[in-house]
Amino acid sequence: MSDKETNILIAGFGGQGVILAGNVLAYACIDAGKNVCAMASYGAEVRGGTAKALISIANHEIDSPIIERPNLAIIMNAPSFIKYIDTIQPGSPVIVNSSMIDLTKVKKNNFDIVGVDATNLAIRMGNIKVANIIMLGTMIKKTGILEPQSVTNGMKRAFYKSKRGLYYINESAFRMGYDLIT
Amino acid sequence: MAEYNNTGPETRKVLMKGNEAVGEAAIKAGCMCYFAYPITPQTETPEYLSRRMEEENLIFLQAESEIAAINMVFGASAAGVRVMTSSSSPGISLKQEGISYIAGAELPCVIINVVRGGPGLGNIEASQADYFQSTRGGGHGDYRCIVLAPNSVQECYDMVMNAFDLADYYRVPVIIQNDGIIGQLVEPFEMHPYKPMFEKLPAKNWALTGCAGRKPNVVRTLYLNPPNGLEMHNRKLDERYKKIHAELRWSESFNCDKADLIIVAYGATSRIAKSAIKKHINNGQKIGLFRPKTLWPWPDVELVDIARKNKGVKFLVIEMSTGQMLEDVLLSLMDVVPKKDILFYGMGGGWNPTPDLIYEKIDEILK
Repeated sequence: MSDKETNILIAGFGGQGVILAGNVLAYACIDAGKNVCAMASYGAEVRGGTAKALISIANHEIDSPIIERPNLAIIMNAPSFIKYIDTIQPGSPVIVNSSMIDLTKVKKNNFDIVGVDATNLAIRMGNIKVANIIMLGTMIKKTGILEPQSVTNGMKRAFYKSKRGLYYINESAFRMGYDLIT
Repeated sequence: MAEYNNTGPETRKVLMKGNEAVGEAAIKAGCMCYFAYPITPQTETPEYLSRRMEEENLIFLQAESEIAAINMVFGASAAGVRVMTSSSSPGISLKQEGISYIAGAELPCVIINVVRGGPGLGNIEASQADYFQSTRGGGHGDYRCIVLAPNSVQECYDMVMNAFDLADYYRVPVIIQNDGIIGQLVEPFEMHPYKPMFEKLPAKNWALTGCAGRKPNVVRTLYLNPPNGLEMHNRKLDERYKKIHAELRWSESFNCDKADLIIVAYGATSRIAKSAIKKHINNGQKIGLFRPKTLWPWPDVELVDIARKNKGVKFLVIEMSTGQMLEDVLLSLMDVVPKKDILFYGMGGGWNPTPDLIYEKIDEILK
């Protein structure tokens, strides 16, 4: 990664683990010795409505916590795609949950779209909640912004104490997402 | 977010929201009681403390209202323990009567204000429109509160620890003036043990701890006798506020040497401005940033110093308000910089500037 900041948008509906995926990413950055700063939507959000997390990653000090134009995105459902796609910088990689977003119907102009059948894969793994981490795995492979080892180390910290048991399925989900593309 | 916080030994950097770091710092600083009522965007602080204070066997109480909470703070502080409350703008308005009483009774306490848009209920977005309320008193009477303004999660953590020390040292309420952006921001920070600011704090021999074997203490705000009692009390307070002004002015400057334009901003705005400033510096412009870390006492001496060193420099005050800190900048610089060279950029109520907007504004001024 160069001196440029990577500004990541993770969006989906409330309950898809958008903010958790952001936390895993932030812990992974701590492990990798990178600076990170994250903002999640708060307050007047509704169950089933759109939720988002914005994460800045850089090798230098991060000044502004406000991100206007993300240059990398994970989008987990159709309403979020419609709502946020125009905020993303043209040409940026966008990882899309193709289980919930019909890729034949979305406008792909300028974006480097990678479809991941994340929700269906997660159901087959036995836990629908890991769709977010599958997509995170694909995003890391696609962009190489972090070493996979940093992400799994980050997950060890994100899933701790009572959540320790969730580490293993999330680790497998991450590997699966990572190996989906070459 | 709190449940993902791993304070394990493998690394000392932990990940938390600003509001949660505030809560953890209070516990580490020996805060025994916390009384509050939830309100967005500060609810993570009571949420976090409701769990952590029970773990530490401390007192967490969700009061029936903000007014009840501040009066509980009044009582606990009079009993000599470290105590904190937190709220956001409309809730802080409700607390003002209590804050005036606490200031009048010369009691230490820590008050967190995660500022949101106003007036009235406003909205839940970040704002800095409570600057007047925090620095000009807010409640009735001639009193001041020390006001600290963090701009990162690390500073949220450090400044809360400082706030407890300063409150005990000077016997005044200390306000942490945060905003919806920094309160909600998630950043790694170093969760170090409590670092006292002073080697020794004055003994709390005024506290109401039970008077068996000693003369009773009285904590009061009513001075009817002698006839000049209130005058003497206010003189004493004024002396203390002058002492605080002389001893405690915190600020930070960036790239202010030989600058053509200096941005004055605090809290989240200072970080957004810094992004824009760095972009201009890369283009060869000479632009600096002056950030007050104490909003009261306002670092006037430091700002005047910078103005004297940079003849002909212009100042641009940026706030998430329609111009509140601007008045302090104008007052500080009235003998040094012509009024026309002090410019303002800001809007009220739940608006936040972006690096691009500030970049363009600077461009406009430099033309």
